Amino acid sequence: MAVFTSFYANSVILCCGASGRLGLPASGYLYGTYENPSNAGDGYSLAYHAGAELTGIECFQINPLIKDYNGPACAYVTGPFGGHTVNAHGHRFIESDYWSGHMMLEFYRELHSENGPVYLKLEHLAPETLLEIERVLHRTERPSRGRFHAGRGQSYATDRVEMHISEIGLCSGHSASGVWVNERGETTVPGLYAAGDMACVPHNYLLGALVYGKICAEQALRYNADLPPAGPRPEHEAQIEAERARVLGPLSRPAGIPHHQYEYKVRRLVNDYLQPPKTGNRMELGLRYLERAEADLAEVGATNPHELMRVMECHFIRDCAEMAARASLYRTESRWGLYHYRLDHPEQDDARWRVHVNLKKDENGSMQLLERPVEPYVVPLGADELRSYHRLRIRPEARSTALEARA
Amino acid sequence: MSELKDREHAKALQARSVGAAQTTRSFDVPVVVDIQKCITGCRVCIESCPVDCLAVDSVTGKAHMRHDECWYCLACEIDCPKDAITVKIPFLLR
Repeated sequence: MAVFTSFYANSVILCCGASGRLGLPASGYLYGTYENPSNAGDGYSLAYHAGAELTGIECFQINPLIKDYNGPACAYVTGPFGGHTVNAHGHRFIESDYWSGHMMLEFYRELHSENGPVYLKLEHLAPETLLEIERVLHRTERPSRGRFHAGRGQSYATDRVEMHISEIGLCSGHSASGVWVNERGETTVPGLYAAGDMACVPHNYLLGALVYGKICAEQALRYNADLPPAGPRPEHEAQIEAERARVLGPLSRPAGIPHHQYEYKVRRLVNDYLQPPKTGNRMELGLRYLERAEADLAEVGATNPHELMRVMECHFIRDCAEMAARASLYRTESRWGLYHYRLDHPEQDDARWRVHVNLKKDENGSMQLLERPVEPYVVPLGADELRSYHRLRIRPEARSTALEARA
Repeated sequence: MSELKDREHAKALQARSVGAAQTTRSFDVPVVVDIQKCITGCRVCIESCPVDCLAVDSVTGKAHMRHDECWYCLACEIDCPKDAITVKIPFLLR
């Protein structure tokens, strides 16, 4: 029924996407995630267990979304057409709708203030402009978006779109959490490469994924050129056998804990203990529950290959949650707005923490945290530009002056 | 009183080693297949689903949503050559 297959290779390119099933969406639907739920953090976990370094895991991915639907509201896409994010009073409160950790922090504050909820406002636009926005937003990225609005009897012409904050995830494409790679796509394990959302090339998105995919392929071919063909080696047999037993194990427990119950619980723990704003006490406690959840994996069962796949994804999700907790605990400052906002260390501390926080599996199988220096900027930045992300909230006096001018 | 305490202690131990019991329940699923239109033996929707939640129903021989694990991405609906599939937004989100 389920066949365990071993592949032999001198080089491997990991391109398994984001850790998209980490936090639990507010809807409670496990697969109603912002990220494609095919991606459960497989690449993060595989790279970690292969001994590669990961970086910036504490820099969570959090996105501004259409509430419940959980697809991106794409206020920044509507921006050039005149759309924007507003609070319950219809006022703009952020300078830029393009997402960043600092934008998300202001979004979070507005959402949880007396001015919340937060909306995408389009109803002031001309009908032909709305048609064009629908043409873009309802055919790309999440094509069922129009169906969601229609199901609630809402339209951009008459209704503002209620927005919310996504569950947390790991994704270098949108934040900076990923496998540590250099400009050649090499991880810290020789012959292991990573590309796309799981490789830390921040904000690389689809274009970066394609470019780095090609770079990785070229580098891997060069790496392979001088090596004899890969094949089975006696010293790997025990390792392969152990992995076969681990992977097929759940099939011997058909009456074990179902994968969806396990996944719900671990992702609920992620929300309860790791969702920003973060605190050391809460994350320490969460870490203990996640360690307990590691032992629980030995009780999760499967009755067919589909369920077995899901159980393996449970392993990935739990691994990513533990990495998220440990990296967040290590960095005792706040940085990147909401992505790593610690209530117990609310200030950004460049003197101590202007470093990358990396983690890897050490010789004893424990998670080890380490630091790497930040490379100098290629293009020098002015002192005022370094703080521009900290000025994303529209100042109240600026808004009242504008209103007075209009009056 | 001590008898009750002993009993609870024994049960608490037993609860940790007793094994598992299971039940089943039904879900309203987002993908609805018109089995009059669906082609027996065709697997286009099953292959296009990114989350592997569609399968052939062993009773009808037609495609159906076996696992309630939908991303409402519409790939199955768009790829179906017979327009046999309608995707609803999952109830929890609707």
